[in-house]
Amino acid sequence: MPDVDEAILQIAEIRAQMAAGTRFRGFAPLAVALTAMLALVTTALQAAWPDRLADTTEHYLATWIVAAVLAIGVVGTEALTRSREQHGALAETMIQSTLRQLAPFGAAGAIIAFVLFKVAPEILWVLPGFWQMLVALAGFASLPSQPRAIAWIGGWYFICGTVVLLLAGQSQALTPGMMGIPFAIGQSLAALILHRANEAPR
Amino acid sequence: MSREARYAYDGLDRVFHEKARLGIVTSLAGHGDGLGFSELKALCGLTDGNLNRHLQVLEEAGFVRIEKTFEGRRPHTRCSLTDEGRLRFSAYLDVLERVLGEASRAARRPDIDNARLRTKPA
Repeated sequence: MPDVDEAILQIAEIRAQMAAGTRFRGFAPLAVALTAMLALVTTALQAAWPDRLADTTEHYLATWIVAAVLAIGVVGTEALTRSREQHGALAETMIQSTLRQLAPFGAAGAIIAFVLFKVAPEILWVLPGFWQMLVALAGFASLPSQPRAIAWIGGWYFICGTVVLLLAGQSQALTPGMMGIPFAIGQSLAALILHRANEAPR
Repeated sequence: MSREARYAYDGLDRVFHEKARLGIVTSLAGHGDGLGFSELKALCGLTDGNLNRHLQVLEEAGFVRIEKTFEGRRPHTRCSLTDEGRLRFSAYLDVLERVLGEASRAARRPDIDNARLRTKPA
């Protein structure tokens, strides 16, 4: 029955189209605010124990990689639960669509970090600025499924990435604030934007 | 659900299950910011009166939001799916997919049965 099979395919297409035009409500403002807190705590820890957590570029970055994994875990776990509550039957499609938007940026950040750790540790100082640029691009890429004001967050991370690359390039050294300040402010603003969008009439 | 009511398909909401309204909702589903009245009319191939009538049914059900504004001096009507509309349409698509899946399996079953008969040893 080719007509029936074609109709089933068309339904899948309608669902994908619908997911693309629907705002993904899986990102919880509280979870995003927690990642801002995590950035502040990591900055404070590195400032308090620089000889352990920021004595070398490798230690500095490893501390932030642990913080990033924790942040992704918190936001991701909450997003899975929340999107099922908010999107019902559309949840799986919405999650897949969001992953397709964001996962390439995460993968690029991880791969570049891995390659630099392995073959060019002398230029690891580029990573914080580079990661911030990737977060900016992820923010812009998610615009179709996020509140429009998220563009400001993309712009913030873009500027921060540029400034951090310039600063780190001049000194070839990384300070806790180079990651902490951009992420603490950026994530706090993102949480505020998500909160305000959730309050708006649907 | 009881075995007898397997094919009841209660989830096929009558508000969506009408050719013109299915076209309207499908058009709106892919446009998060909604569509203008004339765009929607062109996409669905409906007259002004028909589109108005069906939009009214969808609005009364809470599935569609209709905003009337002015662009300069010209009135502009923008239609979009509400969150409730998206959820319910998604659930409707699930049931529709199930109906088609069962129809497809039922249509293939005689072939499988015939093949079994052909390969059965005498």
